[in-house]
Amino acid sequence: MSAAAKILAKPLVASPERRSEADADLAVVRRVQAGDVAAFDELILRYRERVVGLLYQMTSNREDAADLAQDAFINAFQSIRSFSGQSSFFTWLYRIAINGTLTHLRRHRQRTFFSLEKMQDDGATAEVIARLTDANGADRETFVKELQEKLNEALQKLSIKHRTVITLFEIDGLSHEEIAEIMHCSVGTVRSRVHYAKQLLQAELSVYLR
Amino acid sequence: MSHAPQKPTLEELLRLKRAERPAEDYWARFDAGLRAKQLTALVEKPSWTTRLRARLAWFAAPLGAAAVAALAMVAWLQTGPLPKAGVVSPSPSVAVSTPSVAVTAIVTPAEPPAQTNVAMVTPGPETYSPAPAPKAVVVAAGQPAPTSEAVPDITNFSISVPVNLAAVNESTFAAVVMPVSAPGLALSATPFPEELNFPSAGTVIANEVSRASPAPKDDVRVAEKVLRSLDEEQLNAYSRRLVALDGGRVSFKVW
Repeated sequence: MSAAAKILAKPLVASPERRSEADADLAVVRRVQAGDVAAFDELILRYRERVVGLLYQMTSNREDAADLAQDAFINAFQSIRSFSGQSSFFTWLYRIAINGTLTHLRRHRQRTFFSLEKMQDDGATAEVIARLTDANGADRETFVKELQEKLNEALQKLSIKHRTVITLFEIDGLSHEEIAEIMHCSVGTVRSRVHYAKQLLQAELSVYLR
Repeated sequence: MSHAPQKPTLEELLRLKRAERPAEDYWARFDAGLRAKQLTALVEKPSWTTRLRARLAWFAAPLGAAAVAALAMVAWLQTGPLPKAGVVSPSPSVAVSTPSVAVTAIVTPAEPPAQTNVAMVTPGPETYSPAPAPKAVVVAAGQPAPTSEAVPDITNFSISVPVNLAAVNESTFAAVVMPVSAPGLALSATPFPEELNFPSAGTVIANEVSRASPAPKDDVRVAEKVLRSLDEEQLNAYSRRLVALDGGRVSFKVW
């Protein structure tokens, strides 16, 4: 396995770093609960990119993602006194963000205004794109755009729940257990949704895939 | 013989989306929007369910005790007459605890600023009367402190304006209404540092507080007034300085 593939395959969860992150988060949350409201900014800075990234994958629209993430942070701040620390802060925050986004998506089912973002050209991305470009014999820039559009379209064809689960699992790198906690469902349900979503995506994106 | 490049897997393709990044100015706009929403959240009235729950909480304990007493009475009536003397039987005993409610006027001890005199008129800690809210009055140095009837002329407020409200103390962060007419209101004021140039919001707060009516229905939401009084540019600038409402204190900060 190449270095790039290792980076792509690296799980983001269940690591000692994640546990220490959770502890650090809890300390900040306790400060906020004790009245140091400015400390909440630390949590915003820590999680805004991940939350926005997640919501962008769910909505395929950056502005919607920003709006929904802002609402999630406001809701989290307003409810922070009810946070007991039984789950990690980020799980709790994700749950708030995802619930708000699910409501939004249900209300705007027909809306399909995608925004395309520039792909960060790091090693792992570059390698995969190079392979895709060579395999399809296409101009790189045009191809990346097309690929993003197709990815977004394929994701949007999934049901909201399947899209959420595949986003959390494959793009955000959460574990089945964490997703189950966030989505309030069993681990089996998460596994089943991931499997089904992958089948659909495989069919949609077969041109690009091995 | 050349090898055809291997196509990626679905997992690799999906993880490409991790590499998508917004434009440079995205986060600046995100932060500005978030601050504006924080400010807006401060002026939102709690939902009717929240207010209803708060009101019912006052009656919850006596009602519960009354219900227990009623049940005990019914049980006692159904068990027949009282036992004869000499026979010891457990009689229903209900301890009714009356909730004690102490409304305390919270006053943040403000350091009198060097150039101003601050006259604070506050009710005693045990009082809960519909008297007009206490007001902080800032007068120029050297002038006598006004009487409690004087209309306060507060034009110079601090970035750090603690607005203490006993009523809001009962609430969580979500309780964002600032009923300046609530009994127990106290303001402490310190002058703005000139370099911060933050006069408008302070003036609006001061004016709204000075107009505060003792009638609860005339609650004035200070932050809303501030919000409305600022144009978009000011709002972005000022809202960055507004932190939150915490335990009855509204803090304006600079960071």
